[in-house]
Formats: sequence, C-alpha cells, structure tokens
Amino acid sequence: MVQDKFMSYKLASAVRELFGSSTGVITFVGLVILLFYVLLAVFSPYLAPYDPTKSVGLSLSPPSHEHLFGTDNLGRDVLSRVIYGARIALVIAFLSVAVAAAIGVPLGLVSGYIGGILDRILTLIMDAVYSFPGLILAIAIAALLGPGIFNIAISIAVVYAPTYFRVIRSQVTSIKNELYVEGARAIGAKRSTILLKYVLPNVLPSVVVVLSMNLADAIMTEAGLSFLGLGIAPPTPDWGFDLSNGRRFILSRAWWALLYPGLAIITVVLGFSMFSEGLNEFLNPTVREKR
Amino acid sequence: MAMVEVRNLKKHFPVKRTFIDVLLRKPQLYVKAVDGVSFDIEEGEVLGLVGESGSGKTTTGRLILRLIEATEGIVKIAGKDVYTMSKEELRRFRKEIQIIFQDPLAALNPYMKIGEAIMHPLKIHNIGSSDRERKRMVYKMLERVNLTPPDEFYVRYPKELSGGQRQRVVIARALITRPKFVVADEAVAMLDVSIRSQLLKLMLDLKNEFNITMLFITHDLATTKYICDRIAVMYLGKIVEIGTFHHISENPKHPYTQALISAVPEPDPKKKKQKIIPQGEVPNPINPPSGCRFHPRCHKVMDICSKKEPHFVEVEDGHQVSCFLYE
Amino acid sequence: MLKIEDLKIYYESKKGLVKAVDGVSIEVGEQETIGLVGESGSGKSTLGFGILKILPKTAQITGRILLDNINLVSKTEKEMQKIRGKEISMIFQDPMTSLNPIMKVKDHFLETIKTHIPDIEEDKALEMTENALKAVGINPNRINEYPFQFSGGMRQRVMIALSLVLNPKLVIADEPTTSLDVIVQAQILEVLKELKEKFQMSMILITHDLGVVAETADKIAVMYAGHVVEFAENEKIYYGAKHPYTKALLESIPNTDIDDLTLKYIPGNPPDLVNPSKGCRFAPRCPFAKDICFEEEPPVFEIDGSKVKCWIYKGDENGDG
Repeated sequence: MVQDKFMSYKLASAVRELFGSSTGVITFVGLVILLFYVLLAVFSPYLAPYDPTKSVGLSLSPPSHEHLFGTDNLGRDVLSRVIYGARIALVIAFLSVAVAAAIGVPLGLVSGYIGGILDRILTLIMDAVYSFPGLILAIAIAALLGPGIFNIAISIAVVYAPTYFRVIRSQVTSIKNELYVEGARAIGAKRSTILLKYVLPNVLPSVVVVLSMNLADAIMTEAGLSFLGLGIAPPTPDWGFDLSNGRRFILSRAWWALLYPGLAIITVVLGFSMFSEGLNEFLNPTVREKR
Repeated sequence: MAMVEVRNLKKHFPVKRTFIDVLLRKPQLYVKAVDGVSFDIEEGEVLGLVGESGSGKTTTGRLILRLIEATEGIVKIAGKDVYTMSKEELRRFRKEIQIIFQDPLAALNPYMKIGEAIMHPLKIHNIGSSDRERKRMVYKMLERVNLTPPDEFYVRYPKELSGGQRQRVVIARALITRPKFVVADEAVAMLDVSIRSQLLKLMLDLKNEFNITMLFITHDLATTKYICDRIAVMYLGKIVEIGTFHHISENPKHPYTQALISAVPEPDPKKKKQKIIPQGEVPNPINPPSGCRFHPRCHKVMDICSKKEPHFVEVEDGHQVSCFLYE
Repeated sequence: MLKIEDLKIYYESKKGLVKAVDGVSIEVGEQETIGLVGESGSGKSTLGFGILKILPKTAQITGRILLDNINLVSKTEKEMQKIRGKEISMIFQDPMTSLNPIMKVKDHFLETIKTHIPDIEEDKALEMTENALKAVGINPNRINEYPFQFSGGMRQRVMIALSLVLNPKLVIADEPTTSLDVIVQAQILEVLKELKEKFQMSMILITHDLGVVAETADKIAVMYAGHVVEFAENEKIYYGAKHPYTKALLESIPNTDIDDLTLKYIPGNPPDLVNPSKGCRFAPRCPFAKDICFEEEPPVFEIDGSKVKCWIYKGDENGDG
C-alpha cells in the first residue's frame, strides 16, 4: 500500500495501537510524566523562581503566593529545590543505569555464549552481589567512595549490574541454541561476529526494558542514599536529602518541606515503572502476539 | 575420489544424570543417535538420506559439516579431513560446505535484512572487492532464486516474507559462496505441496548450474525421486539400505524400507496397496535392540536377527542392504 | 446430518479484515467422511474450528451451520459448550499441547465425561474410558499414566479415544497425522477407519495431504483462499478433477512412480485474504483464466455430481448449480 510510506500514517497507526489497550494508556501516562520531569531538569534555571541554594525567605514559611511550596528550615524555596532536584535525580539515574549496563551486558553476553568455567565464575560473583540487599551494598560502596555524583552513580551501578548480567545471560543461553546462530556458524562467521550481529540485536529489546525498569529503582536508591546523608553534598538540591531534612521539622507542622520532595520521588518512580511496563509489552514480540 | 567420504561416523550424546544418579554411581547412558554410518557421495551427485524422526538423519548431516563434534569416525570433503582441521581452518573451509535448514524462519536472524543476510557469507570469506560489488552479487542471487525485484526484497525482514520466499533466501545465502557441498536438511518439508515442488525445481536447477554435491535429508521418500541420484535409508542410527531411487522404490529389500514405502498415503483411491505396517514405534535409542535394530518390529524376523548385527550385502549392482535375509 | 450454508468467517487482524472463510456450503451425511483439503491459509482449519465456534473473539461468523436442522451459528457460548465433545468433538494436530501434561490420562477422560453427564457414577465413567482406550488399541492398564509417558502416536490415540468417549455424531479431525512419521501415520489412519465403522459417526478430516484423505474419505472438498472450489466424491476428484486448482494440486503431489519424473508445480503464491482480488481467487495462477475470471466470482456449477466453482463450466451444468 502506498499510504504505508507516509510517516504520518505510520505515526497514526502507532498511536491507534497504543490506545488500543489499557497498557497502551498506562505507557502513555508514564511517558508524559517522564517528559515532564525531563523538561524540569533541562529547563530548571528558567522554571525555578529562586536560587535553590540561597535563603530567599523566612525559615519554614508555609506555602504562599511568593513561595508556592513554602520554604525550608534555611529559608530556601521548596519549589525551586524540587525543580532543580529533578536534575540530580535524573542525571544520577541515567548515569548509574548506563554504567550498570556497560558492565552487565558485555559480561552477560560473553558468559552466556562461551559458557564453561568462565560462566560459572562470573555467575557466582554476580549472584553473590545480587543476593546482597541493594541499598546496604550501595551504602557500603558509597561510604567507601565518598560523596559526588559519579561516585553515587557507581555505587548504584554495582547494585544493578547483576540484573543485566542475569537477564542477558539467560537470554543468550537460549538464543545460542537458535537455528539462526547455528546458521551463522555454518556460513563461517567468527564468534565475535556471531555475538555482535546475531545474538546482541536479539537481546537488545530486553536490555531496553531492564534499563527502563532500573531507572525507577536507581532513583529510589539515590534518594535513599541521600536520605541517609551518603549522597550529594549539601547545599545541592536533592530530593532524598530534602526528605530527610524536612522530616526533622515534621513536629513543627512544616509538612511542606517533607511532602513535595516525597511526591516528586513517588511520581517520577511511578512514571518510569508505568513506561517500562508498556515498553516491555511493545518490545517483547512473544507477549504481543498473544493479545 | 569421492567428493564426500564418510566412514564409521558415530555420535553418542551423553544422557544428563541427576545428582542422585551420580551419587548412586549409575552408569553414564548415551543416546546413540548415529551409530556407525559410512557412505560416499561422488562429485555432482545427490544422496538422499531418508528416515523417520529419531533415525539420526539430521544429526548425520550436522556431523558431516562438523556443526556438532563426532564421537568417532572420519569425514573427508574434497579430500580434506574435516575432523583434523583447526577451528580457524574449518571456519574458512565453510565457504565450500553449506547447509539449508528445514525451518527458514528460525534459520534467519529476525533483526537482519534479507540482503544483509545473503551478503554476510561474502563478507566473512572476503569475496568481492567492495560492498558495491557484493551488493551486485546479492542482487544477482536474489534474481536467480526468483525474489524479484531484488531491490525490494533486499531491504525486507524475514517475517515479512512467505514461507516459500524465506526458504529461497536461505538457499540464496547457502549458495552465494558457490560451495562444493551442501546439506539440505528437510529443506522443503515445511512448505505446502504447490510451493514444495517449486522449491524442489529451484534446488535441482541450481544444483546442476553450480555443480553442487548434495546430501538431501528427508522423511518423505517421494520427494527424493526428483533430485536424488541415490538413496540411503536410515533406521535408529544406522543405514539399512542404500541404492538408486529405482532400487529403493521398485525393489526394496530391507523389511523396514518395504514398510516405509507401503506406509506412504496413496492419492489414487483405486490403488489400495497391500500395506505392511510394522507395529509400535521407533524404540529408544539409549537402549537400541540387540542385533538388527529393526528385529522387534520386523515381520520376517528370524532367530539370528536378535543375536548378530547384519553386514551389508550387495544384492544388485549399486544396491546394498543390511539384512540377514540376503546374507 | 451437518449442513453448512454460505458460511463466512471473518476476523480482525493488524492488516485488516481477514476473509478466512468466505461463503462455504458443504454437507456431511450420516456416517460419511469428508476430507477437507487445502494448503495453509486456505481457511480449512478456520472452517473446522468455526463449526464448533472455537474462534478468536474478533471473529464474525455469518451463514448457517445446521446440525440435524439446529443452527449452531445462533447458539450462545454456553449452549455450544454442551454441544462440544458430546455432539461434535475435535481431534487436534498436536496431541502434546492439547493434553494437559500434569493430568493423568484417566482424569482427562473423567473431566470430559463429567462435564456432559454430571451425575454419572465413577465406575460407569471409568468403564467408558477403558472401552474408548481399548477401541484405539491402548491397554486400559495405562489410564493412570501421564501424557509424557506415551509416544507421539500413542498420544494421538489417546486424543482420538478422548474425542470418542461420548459417542459424538461428528468428529472433526484437524491434521491428526501431520506431526507423525509415515509409519505411525499409517497406523493412526487405520485406527480412524476402524473407528468410523465401529462408532457409526461422521467425520470431517482436515488435511493438506491428498494422499491421507484419499485413503479415508468418501468425499473431498478442496479449499482455496477461503472458498470450496470443488466438492465431489473421492474417485471423481482423483480421476475427473474439474477445477484447475484441483488438477494442479494433484499434479504437484510427488508420487513414487519412477517413470514420471516431471516436476510440476503451481506458479505464484496464494492470495492475501485481507484484500482478495475480485473474481475467482485462483485466476492469477490459473492457466485457463479468461476475462470474466478476473471480474466476477464464479458460482458453483454442478457437473456429473461434482460441485465446481469455476467459470469454465458455465453452460455445461446439469441441474440448478
């Protein structure tokens, strides 16, 4: 059909497919939430009414026209801190997930495809890391490395690398028995070529799904670390830090200093989860066929 | 010298033992998928390998190409011993030896365009001086297997094609390096009758055009007629009879071959054949029957059949059978 | 006994409305076996499943399916459940996936029997089970085994026994031997032939293999792209095929006759069922196609007892066609 060639037609049919089911709607809502936070992060200097690190009003003043979300104990604008906080949250989340994937994916590929002793050793190490409670491991590494965006990202990445490893490895062990891999061997392809051109493209969809799911977890872990004081050094605006800071003044009935950072964490995590759920269904052809 | 020489080829797959089996020191069991197969294929000849599922015919094909390692035996293709080659030598040698699989959808990488898939063997073996030249070669091959217009098929993905078209892609990929020897493993079994004959015709034409030596593996005796010069019948890891199509179809000697032929459904309602259908099914290859492996199902079984293994006997020129009836 | 009139089954797919079965009329007489032959995508399986109304939710079904003059098309799902298994039962292609792997053979039978006869005594139900198994050549001692303990051919026998246990009037067998080896296939076909006489039932045998139907069926309906193009007695199909598609199909079957080495085939591919061409659907591949074949869908002509959907026979018909 000629109409297939038009981009607008493709787009329209994609949207129609998206809203054809409830998961499609969920994915769309997740995507909207995500875009909202990404825009906040990118344009925070233009969107935030005040400098988030400076005292711009009275200490702990309730929400008002001047300070829509109120101020914290040092007189800083909570709204501005929430807006700027999106930067830290997203940067650390994406960075840590990228590092985790950079460790987990290649190791999973090699381990699954080659097998044998190497596979056993890698699996053992990864399983050991995996069985450790995530936050505690992150705390230990963060304490070791000290504060800083990159260090936080690495301590979170270590926690999530085994997830990639496990998912990729299990997929590779089944894909390597697929006929097209045997076909690639039969035409004389090298191992490295088989891994890159025949195995990797077929596991990539699951990498994307794990990636999007891990983003939500990474934000939670980062907030947790900051909450415990192991995150970014103050006064950089950070939701987790603000949450623990605000908690100290809950008895002073200053609920706003606690509520807004908390809401930000919840909604962004929810957004990522909803989006990844839908993404999973769209990228996973076997799930889709059954519908 | 024959193009392909296979001598006493064996593949015994170890049966997985559970931890408890190991503790109890149960002996390691083996599935004797292929158990001593020997034959020659002359240059330009097509040998049909016919058998039911579990006969070991597919394993034999893979062993000859060393896609899996043999337990024992010698395979020589164009005078070169496939099993003494190093991994790298074998990889380079794959330019000369190719396989066409039964299920073309499974045999093609779903994320690779048709054109790339066919071009890949050229790249691997450094055939053609530039990508442009290689693309021209792929176009020519696409045209040759009737996937026209080639530029349209070049950019498509496997799932966008029909079953018959996909098998044409697999054939094109296998033949683009101009191999000397090709294993066709049930290459037309999954296709509809009307498409099946089209593909058989294509393979026959290409075989003659490129002077290919072929091992044609199938469960369907009738399709071997068109393409095979000789036929070997396999049962439970062993060849029981070997001869021309004429020998096998008109004058089958082994009771198993006779049963196999009489079991083929006949579309002519008036030709109700006298059927000799053996009871039961193919036994477990872990513990194959002693002596002649067909003896428990054979309607002409004798005392000796369970005690000794029969040897090959030449019953007429080029027609050999392994059965005590003729020894 | 079973009369299908102008049956149409359409269903939604990503590409659009698939006209899988498009105006099919056939009859199945008492104790008659009809072979439904066609290639993949011809609509033969959709027709088989459609008779029992086991169809995807998006399927639209129109026309009439008369089982002893009761129209099944207008039945509700609940009413159909009473008919399935009891009046009409089905044998599937792959016995491994249609038997529950964690249920004993016995329980498969008891469940089927109790669904239709809720107040049956256990002993009576077991007796029925054993009789059905004996009829297909399985030792009744094996009723406590699980499906995986049976070989492929034995599993298919279990499926057949299961479909017969309630003495249905009609059995629909969808490619019952396709996943089996030739020798086992021959055994199963033998079993089916015996049972047909013993249980005095009618049967619709769906298959792609003309050889299989020739050995078991009384009449053959040849399907192509959602239409029954030819419907006639077994011998009339083989010796006097009328429709060009039937002729081509017969010629393209490889036989073991050594003298016949010509490899005949039908050029081209079957049509797309989303946007089928108007006129006869076989016209683009037909060597005898005339102008009218591309313009108008042919009606069914009746010639020498064969029903043929082809323009060639316009004017030759005897009877009203």
